[in-house]
Amino acid sequence: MKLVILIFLCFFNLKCFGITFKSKVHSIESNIVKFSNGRVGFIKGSPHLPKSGQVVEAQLNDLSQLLSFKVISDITDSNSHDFLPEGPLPFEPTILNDPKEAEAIFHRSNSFYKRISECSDRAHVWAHDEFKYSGVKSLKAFVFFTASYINSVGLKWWFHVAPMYRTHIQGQLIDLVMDFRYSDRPLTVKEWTDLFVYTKRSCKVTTKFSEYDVNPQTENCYLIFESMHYQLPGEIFDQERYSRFKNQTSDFELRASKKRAFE
Amino acid sequence: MKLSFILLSLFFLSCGKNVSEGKENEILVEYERPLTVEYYRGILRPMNNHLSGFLPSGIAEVKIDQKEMTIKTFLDDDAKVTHIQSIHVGNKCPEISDDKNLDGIIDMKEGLMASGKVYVSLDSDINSEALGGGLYPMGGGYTYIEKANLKKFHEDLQIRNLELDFLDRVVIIFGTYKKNNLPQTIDSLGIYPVEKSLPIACGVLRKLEWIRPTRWQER
Repeated sequence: MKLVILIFLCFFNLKCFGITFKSKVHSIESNIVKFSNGRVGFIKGSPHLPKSGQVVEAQLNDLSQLLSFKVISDITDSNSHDFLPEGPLPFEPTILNDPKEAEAIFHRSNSFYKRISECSDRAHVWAHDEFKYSGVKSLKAFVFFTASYINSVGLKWWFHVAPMYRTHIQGQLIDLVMDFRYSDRPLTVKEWTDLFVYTKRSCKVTTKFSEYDVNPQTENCYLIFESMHYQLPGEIFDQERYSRFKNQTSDFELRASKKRAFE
Repeated sequence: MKLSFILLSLFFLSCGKNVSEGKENEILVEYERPLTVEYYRGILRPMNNHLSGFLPSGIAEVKIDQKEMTIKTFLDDDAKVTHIQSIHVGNKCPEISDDKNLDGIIDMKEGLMASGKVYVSLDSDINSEALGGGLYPMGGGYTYIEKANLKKFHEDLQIRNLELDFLDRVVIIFGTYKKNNLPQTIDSLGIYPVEKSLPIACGVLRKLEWIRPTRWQER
């Protein structure tokens, strides 16, 4: 019996070397390919590289080095995004009266996410599940890691996102991030970024994606806060590039996120 | 060591049987479980992730019915190493305040001080602590499922003066890559190599009325 288990575990392990996934290429910066699913692939002398906007099937090794890729789609136009053509509509997040409300929201988070699921899908579903349940409107906290920081610590992601709730705490308005998969309680923004920023440096808050994109690599990370409707970095970038604002979330989009990230 | 532990266990078991039939019946009464099935579930969240650049996470589930106990763990990590895993008698995961030597790492010694001694080693045989041979799952993302005979498991707990109770027990997963720069300050209690002993994920088991099937590997 033990031998069978051993063989099974060894076989299972062999199957799991490296990782293969399908994702759009967000951008390529110095020696890093940034995928829309948040993963990074380190380039190690590869002569062939994917292009921004291509959807590829990428294979990474254990060190997140890009081993190979296959172009699945060459569509680079982002017009397919679910944007309203007009400018921004006002969005006011709900103010929670009490940290206990935030705790309750946190513990209502759907915990049946898949192992291979993207933070953007989980955050989208958690935020909208809560909106459907209680009518509470939340924000999204996006943290973007610079290439210099990614290289220095070997981080496997270039961005991360989670729902954020504005809460009255002892007479102050505090933003609490609900990253259910990686923390056991609502966290302040600094506590949250400290999970990923091992230098404990604060992330620079900005409203422009381009500030992160063309950063001089002197920061570890950038923070952008958007409404609960924003799901991906590309949407934030499109807002800046094309003045296309994401004022709503379609049922189709939510269903797709749920299917990808949850059971 | 294991052999002596097994012999010691057998001695205690045979002693129990020889005391009296009444005593045995008393113990048997304790094996009787409520007709309902008991479910426990814990979300495993990262620990010491600054050493690997990855955020290990997972789920632990325990199901107890009349005769059988099933324990499952689901892990997502990028370190494809052997992951020692265990349930502990405490009721909280180690926190940074439990880092007694202030090296920024919760090691095995500090982890055990915060979460208590081992309740069940989640190896290849959970019927008894003496069995299982220390064979733990290996790999980054894995699904571990083991079943135990509830009577045998309960007997083993009694030998160790422990109650059959999973509420608020702490699940800890250990093990990272050897290549990660691990400082000399990490205390693995001299039992395991440092990289094998590093806690990487932890969660507390909560009782649930029902558990939906977790299809962890599904994409």
